[in-house]
Amino acid sequence: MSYRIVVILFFLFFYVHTLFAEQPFTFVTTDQPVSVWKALAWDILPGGGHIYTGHYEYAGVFASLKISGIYAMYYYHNYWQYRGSLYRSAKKANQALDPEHDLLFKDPEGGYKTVKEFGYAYDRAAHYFTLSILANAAIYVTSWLFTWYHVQEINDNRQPTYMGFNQFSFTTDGYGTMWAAYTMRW
Amino acid sequence: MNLKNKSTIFFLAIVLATGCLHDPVGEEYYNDISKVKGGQKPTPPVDISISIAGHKITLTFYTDKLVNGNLVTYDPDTGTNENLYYLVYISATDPALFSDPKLYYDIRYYVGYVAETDFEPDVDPKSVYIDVSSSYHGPVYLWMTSHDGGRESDHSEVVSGTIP
Repeated sequence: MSYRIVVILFFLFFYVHTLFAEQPFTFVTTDQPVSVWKALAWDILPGGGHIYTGHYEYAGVFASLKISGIYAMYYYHNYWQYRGSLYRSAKKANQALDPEHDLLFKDPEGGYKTVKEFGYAYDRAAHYFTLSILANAAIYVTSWLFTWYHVQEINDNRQPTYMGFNQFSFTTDGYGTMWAAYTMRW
Repeated sequence: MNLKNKSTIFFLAIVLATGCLHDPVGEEYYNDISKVKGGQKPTPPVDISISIAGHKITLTFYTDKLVNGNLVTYDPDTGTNENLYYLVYISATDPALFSDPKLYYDIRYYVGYVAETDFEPDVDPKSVYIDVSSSYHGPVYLWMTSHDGGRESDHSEVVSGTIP
């Protein structure tokens, strides 16, 4: 008889323990991980990647930089073509008008230039265009790095979490038999 | 039209306008004498000659000579020679042997210049003096050009002598 009391007390003790110790068996429901490639693809558009990851302040900054950068490329490409056309025209005219002298041609930007100086201006314009391309590349790479970092940050917070728990339960059947169970899950 | 559309149109207009600022020019753009500094090129001094005394060369030339009532040395853009400068070149080698005709106008042979206004008006011939280093002995070749502040004339005839 006494051993039954001990057993019942034992089970009661652990049952109370399990009431407090019990954790819900949870496969923590989270959002799906964000695709890095999709985010990077969106980031081709000015600010796209940062809007996709929900960083609107970054979107504003990088959208401004990218639009300015693309405009700078457009501007300096036109300028490069323009300086090239001036150089070729001056070279041809110098050859036609007076090949033995270095003539000074009126530069639409002010002053006069020889063909050689038009050539230097043409080279400078090419450098400006090259620099604008490099600046754009730097802006895009920086933007992609931030986008990648933000995606990693988001996905780190969305890792599925498995939580373990243990549980005691006991039942009695119609014949007065007590059934005890101890379950552990992870 | 709402503000957003107006802003977009304004922005695109600026982009297109600044892009069109630098439309390439045609190949014939500079085939226009009004875009060349100095316009038409002047004509050089004529009848130049030298006399050598030791290491001093006297170069004599004419700039107010008339042919059929017209100046021989003048700037076609002004019709006179009052705005002209006369450049003097010297060489120890015969310029006829230059590999490139541009060398007639190369700075390495340039000695100096005088202005038409440095002389009495309408007085010819004009003379300039050139001192040659006392260590030099040998042939000298001289020629002149005119300059109107923008363009240089073709070179004059070349005169030569020998420094004893």
